[in-house]
Amino acid sequence: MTSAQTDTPVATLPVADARRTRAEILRRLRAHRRRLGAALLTLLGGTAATLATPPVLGGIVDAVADGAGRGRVPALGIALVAATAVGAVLAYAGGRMLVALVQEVLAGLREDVFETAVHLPVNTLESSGSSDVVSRVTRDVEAVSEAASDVLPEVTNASFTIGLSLVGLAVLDLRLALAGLLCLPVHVYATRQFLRRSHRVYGDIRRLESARGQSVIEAVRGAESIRAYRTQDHHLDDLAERSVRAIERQRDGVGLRNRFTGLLNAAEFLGLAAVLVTGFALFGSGAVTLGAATAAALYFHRLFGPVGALLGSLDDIQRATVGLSRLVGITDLDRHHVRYEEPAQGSGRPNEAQGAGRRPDIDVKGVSYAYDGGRPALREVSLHVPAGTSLALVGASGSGKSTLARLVAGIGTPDRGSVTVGSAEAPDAPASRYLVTQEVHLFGGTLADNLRLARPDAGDDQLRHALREAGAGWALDLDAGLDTVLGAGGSPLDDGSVQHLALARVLLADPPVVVLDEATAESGPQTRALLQGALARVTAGRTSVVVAHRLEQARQADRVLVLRDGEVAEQGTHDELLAAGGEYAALWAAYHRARPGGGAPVSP
Amino acid sequence: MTPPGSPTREDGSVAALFRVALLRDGRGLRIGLTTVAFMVHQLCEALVPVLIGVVIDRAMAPADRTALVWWLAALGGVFVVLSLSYQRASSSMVTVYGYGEHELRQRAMTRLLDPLSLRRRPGSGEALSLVSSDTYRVAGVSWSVVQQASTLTAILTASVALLVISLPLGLGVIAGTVLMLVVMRRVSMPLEARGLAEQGSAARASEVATDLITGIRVVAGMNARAEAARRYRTASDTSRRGAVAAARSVLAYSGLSQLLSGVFLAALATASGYLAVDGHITIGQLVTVLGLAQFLQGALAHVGTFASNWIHKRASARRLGTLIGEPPLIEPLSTGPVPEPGPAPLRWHPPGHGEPLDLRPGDLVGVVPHHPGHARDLSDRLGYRVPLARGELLIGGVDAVDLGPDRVRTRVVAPPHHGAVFSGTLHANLVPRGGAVDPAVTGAAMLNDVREQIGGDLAEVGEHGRRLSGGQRQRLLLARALHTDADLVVLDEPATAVDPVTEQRIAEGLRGLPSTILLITASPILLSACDRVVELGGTGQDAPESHDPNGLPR
Repeated sequence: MTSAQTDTPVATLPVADARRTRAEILRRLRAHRRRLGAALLTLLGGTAATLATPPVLGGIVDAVADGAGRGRVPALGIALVAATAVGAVLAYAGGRMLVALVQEVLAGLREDVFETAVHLPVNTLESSGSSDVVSRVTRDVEAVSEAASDVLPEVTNASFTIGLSLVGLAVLDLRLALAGLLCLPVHVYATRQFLRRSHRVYGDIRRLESARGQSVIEAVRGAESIRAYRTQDHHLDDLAERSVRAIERQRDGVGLRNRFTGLLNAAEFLGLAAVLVTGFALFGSGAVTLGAATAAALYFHRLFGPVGALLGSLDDIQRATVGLSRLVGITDLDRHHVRYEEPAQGSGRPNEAQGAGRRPDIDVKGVSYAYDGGRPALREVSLHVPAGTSLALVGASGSGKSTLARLVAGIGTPDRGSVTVGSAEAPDAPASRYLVTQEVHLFGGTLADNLRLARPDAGDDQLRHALREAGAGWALDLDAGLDTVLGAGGSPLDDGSVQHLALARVLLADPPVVVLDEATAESGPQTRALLQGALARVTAGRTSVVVAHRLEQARQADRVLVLRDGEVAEQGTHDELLAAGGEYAALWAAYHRARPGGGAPVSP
Repeated sequence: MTPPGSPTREDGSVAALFRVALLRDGRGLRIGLTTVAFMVHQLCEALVPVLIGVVIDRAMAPADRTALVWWLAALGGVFVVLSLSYQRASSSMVTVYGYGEHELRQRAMTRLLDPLSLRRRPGSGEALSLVSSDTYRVAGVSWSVVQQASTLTAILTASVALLVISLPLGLGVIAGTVLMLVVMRRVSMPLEARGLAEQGSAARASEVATDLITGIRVVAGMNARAEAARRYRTASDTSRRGAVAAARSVLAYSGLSQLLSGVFLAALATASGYLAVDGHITIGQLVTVLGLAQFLQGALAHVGTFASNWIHKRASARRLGTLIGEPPLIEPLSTGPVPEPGPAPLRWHPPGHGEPLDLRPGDLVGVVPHHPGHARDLSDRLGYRVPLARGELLIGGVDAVDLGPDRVRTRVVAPPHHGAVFSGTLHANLVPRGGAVDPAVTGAAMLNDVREQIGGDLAEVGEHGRRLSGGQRQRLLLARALHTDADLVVLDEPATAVDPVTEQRIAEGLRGLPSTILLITASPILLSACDRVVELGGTGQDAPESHDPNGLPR
């Protein structure tokens, strides 16, 4: 059984400290200081209008007390309606302004976070777990926006109400305000005690709940496997255990909150009693009217809600700050220039200078590479691919094929040795190389969206042309053509078809160098034949490196390189290697023998 | 809705689900007590302004020091009861709510994992929201009941207090409450609908971010990082607009509610002012009325949310009920006694194939599918994931239809091609039902290098096995299938994500194992290792043939 702790990915991405986080948020807010000021002033005005209520109510009491009421009561009633109306309108207007501003700042922040994250070196993304990045750009962003849209208005309103009520009390009589403040030490004590311990308890609750959520996700996604192995009980028990643990911890959380609430209630009583006693004394000595004493008590009674809201949301604010520091931690990477520099054009289009016609060659010299200081994945690998020719990489899993392919494609840099594309004097930018990876990923959105990733400025005709060229004309027969929504919630595609689209993207991007590390074994004979044709068109006239997931691909390449344990075992043309009678020849023989019809490719 | 007369199926009606959330496991009694505690709390909250009025009326106005002490003591007593009742109630609610949600979640999950499968199976996104959000909302009825009951109590208390002070005022408050309920319900519905739609668009940025970051290798490979960032900006902007619009709906709603309750307060204050001027009520009573009016303002705003609160919960309960009442895909067994399957070999009669296939212990049989979809279909049939015809699969002489899926799966293991890797250790993934890892099996599945590389069998494989590559995951799935002690292991294209060298070794490894294996594959390398290869006829019409392709000795 897994423990909750191990489910949280180890964060190796940085987290900003509190001071840096604050500075960054202030910097972003400062850019909008006029609008922020206007919004806050409007909200303040709204609160002030609402706070006219207690003195007006006090005024009614006074009007009755001094017997001159008849004439004044309706006027005071109208004043109440006016105060409410002005308060509601200003609160609405100020709220609108504030929410627009906050959402704008937030959007700016999350866009910067994403921009930085997506430009991090792939190795950084992978070693720190893409789940850490994903959880920052989703969960942390959501936690912060939730706090910004739910907690912020409430806190603003509560602070204004508290501040202005104290002012109101002081205007009635300073001594009344001071009496009200008697409860302050209790508040401070309660809040400090609560925050000191809530951090851990609520952190645990969130962790346990996310462990529970993960258990749900895995069981839902793996339902068929669970049925096949009849492990329903195991998964249901696991889920039950996690959820019971979460409930138990929530009980601790409620205990904590109850103690906090208890102290707040004590403070409320203390303050209210003090205000009443002071009012009693002041009214007795004639310093204030009965109406003023009433207004003071009502003012104070009105504070119960806002004070509870303000202090209660300190925990949410603390949580949002944690999320913010994780976000700022990422944007700060950008300040420190830890990013993958994509060439200026950015869209994967080759420069005019290195565009069609000029096919560079690939030169790899003495390259060694190890993942995170582990066992070396590549040792002293050298190879040369002349311009416009193709090289196939063959080897067992773990022999380093994909690692080599990625280095050639310019993703990651070798620990030792060099990878040069083009001439040594004027090497091509990484954008001239295009890697089709083993990962099969269907992007959200429409068919056109999936294709335009490789070339955002392509017109519909270009998209159709690339699809036909890649032999993926079937895609145009989908319900809504290029506008068909694919993937979850849309038309499902099998892995072979998704790879087919990946090949169409290469034709769209039209790079001079292409590295193919795609596995098409998933598809049936018919799709396979189509893909084979697409592969041929993708490599034609380009300098290409192909990771051979099927030996057919090796035979069609100009040259073959066999890797064993990260080292070059043999290289040459298909025929040379067959003649040499080494590892490749043995492999080919086994493959050849396996085919009932002989060495010919599978006929559809 | 559940058809009548099917006692085996659970009742998925809205009422039944609310009963689970509210009444099961002693929750009924707890909720009853909690509601009383919350009512007491609300009653005390309403008493505070009343007591303020009393203090002013009985102590302050006549300058009576003794009365002040006594009434302040009474106020203190009210605060003690107020605080304790609240604490009691909220502790108890965590248990009620937590375990109510827990039970609903377990029920929903049990249905999703039902061995008989479901006739309409929700997609994984829908299933997730059913198991997490909908159970959460349905369980929330306990909060609704308790809070709404106590708010109504508070309003009732205040009205009674007002009725005692003055009949017209009390009636006015009750009328005001009803009016508020009606108006806010009217206003809230269109606003709610708009707000929900906008909240949906607010989630857009997260979706796009997840999509692009999980596909980062593909994005980086095609140098499309800048385009990815641009797309995120667009999505983020959509989200921003959605969030702003949603927040504005909420602001409009709360603004209106503030306005209405303020007007209510003003009307009440003016009316009581007149009554006081005319001497119908005392000044102290006036203060009490004003205090109560302030208190009622908050309570009425809460009343305004009642309607929408229940709309959401009912919608969730309906969705959850559809899942729980969903009929099974595979008809449940007749209740008659089923003979224990004997040791006779397994017999499989693939639909459209001329003669049945007998699988003898130790056989390694290859079956060539027409296309990937066909392979999935064959493996679904052998895994009894779809309804089977009588006579299609015989296990030890007993028809699979009589045994039912769960018992069939003890004898035939046919995991899906896209199997799931679970977070946890490699060991837990290899032998999910417990037991030891068999080195012969991991060797045959070419998994030993993976075991070494990730740091042993007790190393974690990460969420969805993210620490493993696609090929490594596939070998793990293969080894898991081979670890079962079933009579027959059915493998559906088990080596599509590995290179030819590894595939060759897996083929040899499978030959070396004593298990009975049915390989559904188009791969010549794997087929070459089989004792027999069966090519299933066309789309069911062609004459099938069974042959021994290479006559290789095993």
